[in-house]
Amino acid sequence: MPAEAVNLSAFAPSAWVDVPQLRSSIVSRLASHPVRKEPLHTQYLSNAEAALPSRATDARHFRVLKADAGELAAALREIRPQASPKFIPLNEWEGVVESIDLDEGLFWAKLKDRTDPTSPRERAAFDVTDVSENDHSLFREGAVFRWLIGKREDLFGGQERTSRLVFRRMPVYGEREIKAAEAKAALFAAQVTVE
Amino acid sequence: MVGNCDLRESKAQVVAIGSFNPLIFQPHWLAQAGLIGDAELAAADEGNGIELMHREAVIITLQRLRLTVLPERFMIESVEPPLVGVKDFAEKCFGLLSHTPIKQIGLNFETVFRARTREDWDALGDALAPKQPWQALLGDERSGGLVQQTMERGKRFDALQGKITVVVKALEPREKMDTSVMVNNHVDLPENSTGDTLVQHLQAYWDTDHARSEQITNALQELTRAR
Repeated sequence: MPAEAVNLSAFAPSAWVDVPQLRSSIVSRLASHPVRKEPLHTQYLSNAEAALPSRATDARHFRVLKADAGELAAALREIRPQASPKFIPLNEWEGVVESIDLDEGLFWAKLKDRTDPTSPRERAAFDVTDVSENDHSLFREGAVFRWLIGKREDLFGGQERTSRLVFRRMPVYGEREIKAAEAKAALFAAQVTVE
Repeated sequence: MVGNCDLRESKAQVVAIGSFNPLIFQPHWLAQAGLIGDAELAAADEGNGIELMHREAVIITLQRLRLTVLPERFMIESVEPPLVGVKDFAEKCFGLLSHTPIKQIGLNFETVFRARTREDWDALGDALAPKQPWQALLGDERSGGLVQQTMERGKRFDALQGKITVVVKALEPREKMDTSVMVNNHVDLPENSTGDTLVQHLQAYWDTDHARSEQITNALQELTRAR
């Protein structure tokens, strides 16, 4: 389908907009942007320094393009989204790591079927090597993950059955949030009467 | 299996309309915040996945998510399942950026499915847009059909201000008989809402909005049954 101009006002502002569609509005915005020649990360430092961890304020870690807005708009116009193999999910479970046995190279997990919530809870063993490198820092007892079984379809229509584990990067609540939740629970408990 | 069609793709988006500083969303900040893993950071350090980094717009493709931030729009979308990844990302992100002003939220879900036969695909189009009123205008030859339809419920099913919009769209190329169903669960927040509000909204409404969107999509898929 050819790229369409997006009229964002036609729907709710939060409506679904694909990045390729959004790109056209970014291009027109950048194209009309006043040309600036100063390195962009200079302004970034002054605006956002306070909100960043100290390591990230090191300019070596920035990948800010030092181009003016017109050059950026031209570069962005040239970018074409690349097609990639597609993963079509067939079943999905949520798992919690119960125990890890590195000698055996296995871990045990409790599973809840997300595709059919009426299914009973199950327990299963997984190979430790199935945990992706990107998720190693999350892998511990109590970690929550999704186990997906699906079909991977390549760009030429070829399909293969595949399974994957994806560990969830859930918020970690600090002492303040936990105390607030405990206080709320205590208040709620005080209001409950048992006859 | 729902209807005479096959699932092709499921995606989700969390959209926040408010006031953002795109350049905060540096890969190293995302890594230190625990929003991305070591492999994603290493890839970003080599320039992989960073489509644009500018004070007006940031677009980064991660392992299974794509992040787009403009001064007035934050958008995290799933590139691949599991869809809950977008909720986790937004919840964790705005737990840190808790004072960011936010005016509106969209929890969006898109499903693409492929009809098994042309008759099944036409059954969906005919159910949503009966052809009889059009025959006098465009003739009764069966060629083309419903391209896109938008249906809006002007209020949500809960007490929040907002609306639910469903867009059904026939995708190109038409020979594939693919249909996209996009459900936008929109919320207008009270004045002075912030990142904290978004976190609370995700905790309270993600599951119900996702489940309802699935029900809507399943019901539309059921219409792909030639009579």
